[in-house]
Amino acid sequence: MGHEDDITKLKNLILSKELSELKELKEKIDKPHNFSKQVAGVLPEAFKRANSESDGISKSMVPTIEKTILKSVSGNPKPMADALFPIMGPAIRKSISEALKSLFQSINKTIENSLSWQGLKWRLEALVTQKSYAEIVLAKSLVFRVREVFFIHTDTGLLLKHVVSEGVKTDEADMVSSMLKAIQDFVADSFVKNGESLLGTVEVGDLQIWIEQGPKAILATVLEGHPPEKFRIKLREANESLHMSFSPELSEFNGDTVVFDPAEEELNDLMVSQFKPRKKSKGYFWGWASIIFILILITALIYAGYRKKARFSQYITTVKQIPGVIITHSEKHNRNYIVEGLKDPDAEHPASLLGAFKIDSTKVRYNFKPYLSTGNDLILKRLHKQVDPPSTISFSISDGVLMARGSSPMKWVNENRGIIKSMPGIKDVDFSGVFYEEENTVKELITEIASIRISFEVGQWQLNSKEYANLDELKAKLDTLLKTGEVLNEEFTIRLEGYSDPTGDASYNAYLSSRRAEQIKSRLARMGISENKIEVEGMGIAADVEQQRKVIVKIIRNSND
Amino acid sequence: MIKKKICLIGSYAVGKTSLVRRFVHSIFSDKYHSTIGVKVDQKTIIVDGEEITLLIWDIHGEDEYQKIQPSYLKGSSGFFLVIDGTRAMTKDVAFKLYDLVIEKTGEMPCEVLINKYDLKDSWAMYKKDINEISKIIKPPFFTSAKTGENVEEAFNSLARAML
Repeated sequence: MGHEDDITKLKNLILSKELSELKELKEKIDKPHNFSKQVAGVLPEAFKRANSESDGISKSMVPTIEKTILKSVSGNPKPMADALFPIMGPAIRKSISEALKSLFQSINKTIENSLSWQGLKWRLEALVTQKSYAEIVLAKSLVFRVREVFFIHTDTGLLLKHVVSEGVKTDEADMVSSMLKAIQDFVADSFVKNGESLLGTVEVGDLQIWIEQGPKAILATVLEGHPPEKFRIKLREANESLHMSFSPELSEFNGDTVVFDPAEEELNDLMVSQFKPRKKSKGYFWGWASIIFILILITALIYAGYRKKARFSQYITTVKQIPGVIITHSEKHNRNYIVEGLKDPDAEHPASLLGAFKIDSTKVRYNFKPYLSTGNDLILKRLHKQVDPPSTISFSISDGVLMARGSSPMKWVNENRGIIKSMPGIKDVDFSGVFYEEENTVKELITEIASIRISFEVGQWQLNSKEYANLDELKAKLDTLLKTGEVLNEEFTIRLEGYSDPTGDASYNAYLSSRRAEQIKSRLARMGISENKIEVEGMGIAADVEQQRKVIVKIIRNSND
Repeated sequence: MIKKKICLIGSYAVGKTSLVRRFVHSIFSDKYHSTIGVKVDQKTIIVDGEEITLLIWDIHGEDEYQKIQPSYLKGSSGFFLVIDGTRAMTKDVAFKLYDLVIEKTGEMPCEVLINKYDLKDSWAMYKKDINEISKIIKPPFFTSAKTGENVEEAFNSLARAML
């Protein structure tokens, strides 16, 4: 024991200074107050150094800081809110203004596209190809778009995670994934010697599939349009990052894909699209030009429609004035016009007026019920149709009385008077203003007959055969006269005057002249002229040389009045 | 959700494709067989209350002119070995293929299917063949693509072995 004491003594002797320093140091470390004081002194320098050498310190600080913030916010959020306010305010404003800007841009784009010449072209194309307008716009204005991203396990070809853009079917993704892997294998086995560069791009119709092969996972993206080459770099970086994040899960994959759900966020970052920049001013010009054009078109259409309507109503007004046509209803139905009412069969058809109003006759349908008009025009029309009056006669109607003017054969009047009187709308007829054409005939015949001279030989009362033709002519004219008289309801007396020449004595000449007249009477009677219409007189010696040895015929009109 | 890759292999014309056609969801044309030598179909089944999606790699049959591509076997969790019950030589091909698979992928669940069981008149698998298969690989299922006999059972058995 004493031996040990000696050693302690020796230690104190040799190391007394070091020991006291060591004690001081121990005190500094053991007492928390003292130690923290010491650490506080070096901490800023220590952080600075640690940060400059590696990012280990910031990584290890993350959980602590997160916890601290969480604790602070759940205890009393105000100090944190106050602290963040100067940063959050502008950030929120910026985010809102960005959102509004993009909203305006999308509205602008929509207007531009719908109203520009190109927009109209696309609409037409959409109509022709039966695709939706949105699809056409997308196809035309898209530079490229990612439709789908497949995150595939390299060894098994099984699909670990799949993200798609809206409207893309997803139910067959598992099979597509495996088949992609099979094709990769096939290409690798068949064409690639060292396994270095595998199939990178597959083109399927309008789509491209870009494949980024990693040791444990494959990223395959289905793309529309023409993606830029830098997108491949983005793809590679994403696959590297996924390899890093899911390294153990990829190595130990047993078919359960749930562990890869967190990859969704990273995959969504790949769902990018890029649109073509648009030439603004030109687009706006065409946009406005289209608006104005459409407005003019609409105005023109409205005006044309108004004009059409106005023409139709003018037409109906005119049709209403057609005698024998009554319009009860007219309307526009779809693109056609319907006209309903009553129409006298003899009235003019309203369709004959369509041309004057520039109305398409195929667009108008008439629905008329027949009726007999009592309008004067229609009565006269009907009269003309039924009795065909001579063109020399004209009619007018006043208070239901038909008045006739002009000249007409009495024969026609007699035949048709009853028919006319019985026609609807006619109460009475008045033909007093009509000159009957038979009157003329009678007058002419009387004159003609009066000029006929039947001559006799000196001292004779027997008729010379030379005079037979003369007698026949007389007979024919008398026949006509009597017949016409019947039409006119007029009777005549045929007066035969016999004359002699001055030779011989007066009483013999009176006898002779009387016998000559008698002779003609009996001749006419034999030819069929009724005897009781004939009167004879021997006139004795004719003073007028022209009448000597002649028989003269005079017609006496027996007036009925 | 659990997904598994399985392979369907066998000699030429043993009826692999017809065997699964009625039981799987298929979107790819059969012409992939003659071009790249494989076609993938899908079948979802429920085993012991768990849904499992099988991606079935129907690999073009092996004959003296065409070998199966070993890379298609990679990553499989199980496989079907199909033998034509009317052609004895397809059994020998099956043994060869079995060895190939084990060599390339290591031990894994397998079911042996002796197909065309409906063609009993031209049957060519005898008791000693069955014993041989049972001894070297495992007792087989007798299946018929025509009647569907035992096909679902084989799928369920393989799926259960893989879980």
